Amino acid sequence: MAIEINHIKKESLNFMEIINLNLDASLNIYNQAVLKRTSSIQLFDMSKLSLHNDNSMILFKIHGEIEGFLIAHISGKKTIEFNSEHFKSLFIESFNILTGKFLTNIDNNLGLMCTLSVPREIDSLIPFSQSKYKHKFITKLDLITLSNTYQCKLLFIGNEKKLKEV
Amino acid sequence: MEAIDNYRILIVDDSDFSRQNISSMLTDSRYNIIGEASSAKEAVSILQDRKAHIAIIDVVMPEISGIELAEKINNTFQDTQVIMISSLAQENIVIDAISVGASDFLQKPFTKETLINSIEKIISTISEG
Repeated sequence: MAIEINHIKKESLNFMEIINLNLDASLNIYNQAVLKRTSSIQLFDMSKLSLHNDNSMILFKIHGEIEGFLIAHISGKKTIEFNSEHFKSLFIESFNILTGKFLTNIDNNLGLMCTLSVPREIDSLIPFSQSKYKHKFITKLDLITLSNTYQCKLLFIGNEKKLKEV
Repeated sequence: MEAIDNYRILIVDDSDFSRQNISSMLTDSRYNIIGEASSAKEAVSILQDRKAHIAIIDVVMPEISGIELAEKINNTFQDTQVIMISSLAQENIVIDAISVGASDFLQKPFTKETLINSIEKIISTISEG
């Protein structure tokens, strides 16, 4: 369930807070899994993340009043699990749901309209290390399935085009 | 009017996991899943071959979106009612879906009860028609 925003003016929120408040804390994925945030949104330094030649990242492109990318990454157990088509599909759909609800929350709460691309697999963050992307945030989540718990990271790389006045 | 005791349903979603979940929700013997498509093109191919009373369609799909597919179904397969599904539920998307003839819009993740209620509402209109 999204954290409610009560009496908070947009101009007093920085962009990190906007993401933090609109990204669901926990999501039940059709009783097959739960996606649960285990950290708040934090800044991250791309150079300190060694995510190259890593084939367990899923990218969602965001267009609209926020332009950027949300990248979901599974840590640990990745090679074995990502070779399973069922698990990969569960992982992708879980983050598709989280991402879609995030954009819906942002529209409902702040009037920021954005769309989401079809997810695609990527194996490197190098293309995203360009300085044109002002914001780079990270949060950690657990993907809890019926049989296991997987530690995941969700990265946001991008810019807000314009935050409207309240 | 001939009574229908078997409602033919097509599931269209590029996510295998999503299709499997929807399929597992529709275990009532009155629901006959006539096919599962991972793309709009595949869905049209199925509909050209087999009639469906209801198509459950994801909005965000590669190449041809679910909205475009719903519009095509509204124009070409007029006996098929559409339920749009998506993780996105902004007002403009819901309006787009309704404007191309979708009978309902469900935000993911939805419960079995929500999906069944949506299907049953459509069935009641088919039965009354």
